[in-house]
Order: sequence, then C-alpha cells, then structure tokens
Amino acid sequence: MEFSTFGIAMIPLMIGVNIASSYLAAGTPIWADTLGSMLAGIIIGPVNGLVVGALTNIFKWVTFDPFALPYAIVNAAIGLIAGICALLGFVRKETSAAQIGRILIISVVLAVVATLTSTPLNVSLWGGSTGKAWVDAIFAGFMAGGWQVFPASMAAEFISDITDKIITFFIAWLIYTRVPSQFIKTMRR
Amino acid sequence: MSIRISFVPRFSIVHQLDPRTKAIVWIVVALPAIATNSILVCLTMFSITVVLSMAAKVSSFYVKNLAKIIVPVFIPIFLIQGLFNPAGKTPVLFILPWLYFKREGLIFAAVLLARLLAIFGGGYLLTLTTHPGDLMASMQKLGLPLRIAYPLFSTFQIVPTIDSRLQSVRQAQMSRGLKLENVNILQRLKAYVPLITPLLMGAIEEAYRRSIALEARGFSSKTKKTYLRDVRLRRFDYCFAALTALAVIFLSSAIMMVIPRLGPWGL
Repeated sequence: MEFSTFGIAMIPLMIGVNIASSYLAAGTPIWADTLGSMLAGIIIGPVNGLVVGALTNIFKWVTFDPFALPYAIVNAAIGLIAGICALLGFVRKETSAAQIGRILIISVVLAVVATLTSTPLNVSLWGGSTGKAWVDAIFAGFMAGGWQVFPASMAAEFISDITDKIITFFIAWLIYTRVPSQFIKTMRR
Repeated sequence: MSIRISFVPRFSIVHQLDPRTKAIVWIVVALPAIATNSILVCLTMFSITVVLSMAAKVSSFYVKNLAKIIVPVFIPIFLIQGLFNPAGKTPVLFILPWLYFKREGLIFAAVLLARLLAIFGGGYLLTLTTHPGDLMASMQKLGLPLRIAYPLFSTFQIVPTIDSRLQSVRQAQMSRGLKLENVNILQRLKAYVPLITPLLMGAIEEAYRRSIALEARGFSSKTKKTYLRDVRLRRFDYCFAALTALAVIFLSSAIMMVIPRLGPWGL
C-alpha cells in the first residue's frame, strides 16, 4: 500500500507541496516545510512520509537551498512519526475536543523530535544559527545572556518548532478530514 | 518562486554532455572543497563552475540565482559568528566597547561560505543544464529501478507545475478579496491557510490522475522499456571529464603549495 502506483505518484507532489508551503510561509515566523511529509505520512503511511521528507531536502539541496541536505533527517523523522501516529489511530476524522487534544500532543512530540534531530546539526554546521531571523535573534539573546552554544541553540529551536508544528500539523489534519474516506480506502488498496 | 530551479534550454557544449558526465564533474569539483579547509581552494573550485556555466551560456542565471540563495542566509551567519563565536579573540571592528567583530569568527563564516559555494555550485549547474527526462533516462541506464527513479526525477518537472498552480490560486483568492499585498506578519499567517488548502487538495487529486496515467503507460509492467530521449556516453564525454579532473588536481595542488608562502594571508 505504501508504494502502490498512487503512493509513488504522491511522492513528487507532496515534495512540491512541502516546497510551495515553505515558500508561502517565507515572510511569517513559521517554517511550514513539513506539511507535505505529514500528509503523506497520514494519508499513505509512515515509510512514504519518510521518503517524502528525505527527498524534499535532497531536491532542495540540488536545486536552490544548499543548506538543506543534513536536515533531510529532520524532515524524514517528521514524516515517519506523523505516519506512525496515524497508523496507531491517533489522527481521526472527527472534530471533538479529544481529537484537538491528540493533535496538540502529536504536535509537541513532533516538535521534540525536530528539536532533538536539528539542534546537533545547527550547532555542528552553522555554529547554532538557524537561518530564520527571529529564531537567530532569540539564540543571540540567550548567547548574550551567558548560555552555552548548545542549550541556547536548543532552546531557540524548540520555541520555533513548537509554534511551527502546532500550526502545520493542525492544517495537515484539517485537510485530511476534508479528503473523502472512500477515496483514501480505494487508494490504499 | 523567484529563484529559477528548472532546466534552461540552450544550445551549448555543456548541454550536450551526458548527465552522468556532469555528475562526475560535480563530484570532482566538490571533493577538494570537502577535503581541505582553505578558502582559496574552495573559491577556485567555485570559479571552475562559473567558467562551465559561461560555456553553457547560463552564467547570468547561475550567478544571479546563487547570489539570491546565498546572501540572505549568510548575512546572519556572518553577524552571529563574527560577534559571538566563542573561539573569537582578535578584534577586527568595534561597534560598541563590548561588542566587536572577531577575526576567528569571521574566518569560520567565510570558510563555510566558500565551501558551500564550491559544493553546491556543481549540482545547481547540473539541474540548470540538464533536461529532467535525460536525467531520468541516464539514471535508469545506471541501473536505478523505475519505481525509485520516477519519484526522484519527476519532482524536477512537478515543482514548476505546482508553482504555477500556486500563482493561479493566489489570483483566485485575491479576486475573492483576500489581501496579499502590503500585509503584516499576522495577516500573512492568516492568508497561509486559504492559499495552501486548495493547493493541497489539487495536489492529491493530481496524484490520483497521475497514477492512472502512469498505469495506462505500463508503469508496473515488468517488460523492458524503451526511451524517447536517448543518452549515451561519447568519446567527448570522457575527454571532458578527464580535462576537468586534471584542471582541478593541478589548481588545488598548486594553491596548497603556495599557501604557506603567503604568511598571515594564507587562508
């Protein structure tokens, strides 16, 4: 099911969505570059989400973003975890308070995963900066306050990731609820 | 997207090369930049890619887009590394008595920039001068199965399509009264949802249509497939790759020998 013809046709399109989404969010405080990986993970499966995440950053790296390659791990982990959460039945098509709570918990998990995977990369490759101006400002503030590089970078990254993942995962779930179940069922075969 | 990421059709030597040759040239140019810590070597490798882009008649695209990509990211890196890098000792430029740029931090940022240009340049040149269909055919000739090659290389064709779809969604939403110009951050964040939702729904629908089109053309069929676009390694390809490798070896070893004589300026 993960690599049926539909699953394979989804990969390049979800990569395109990742890129278009991060382009749309360029002037805002969020990254939003994992929307397509999350959706591929939810609709098709965790391995597909992982492939979409990894290929997105490889594509960005060879075309227009020379910093993207190491972060393939981060994006792939997001797609995988979102897919696993959907497989375990935490992402449901119902608009209840319990579901909103589950979405929030998954977003926090995703933010923790993103922080744990990307902080070592930020510190070892770019000395702790992230490339988003407001995150770098927080980071510089922590550094000026006498923090070490690693905790300062991690704190700044987590603050940015938690806002980003809550917004992005909520949108991914919202779109998932709008896709007809019959359609998904047919496609999974 | 304001940055050109797709193929630029031109008639030139570089366009006629086999994609595999271009990939080899990319690796050869990037290797010295990975192996050494020297700014001069990295910049020389980058200038080789600029010369190649001139031969391919895409130099204006190449240099302009690279600047658009690199400059916005490197300004904060230079600021933060120059001011706050813990290895920094020697003051270079004072802003405030306790806030000044330090030599070590600035050099660290400059090495990052130079290495990045050298490693990234060759790959960017490859995408600018190679038709996505050629890339896919050459990778399949290297033995990559179609199920892996398709998602890898059709992305190059689909991303520009999604970009143009995004433009039409934008115009459609603007005609319905969505404010997209001269907006503050909060308004832009609000506009993100009505723009991304139709785009995503369209993308899922498109994936469905594409999967049918792929199946109609025998995507899962096990028989041997033929190609519309023919790629071959000719004698010229071998000569080109050998020449580039020779130039790279000569230039990088020459620079590595000269550096100790430059004293404090040897970077």
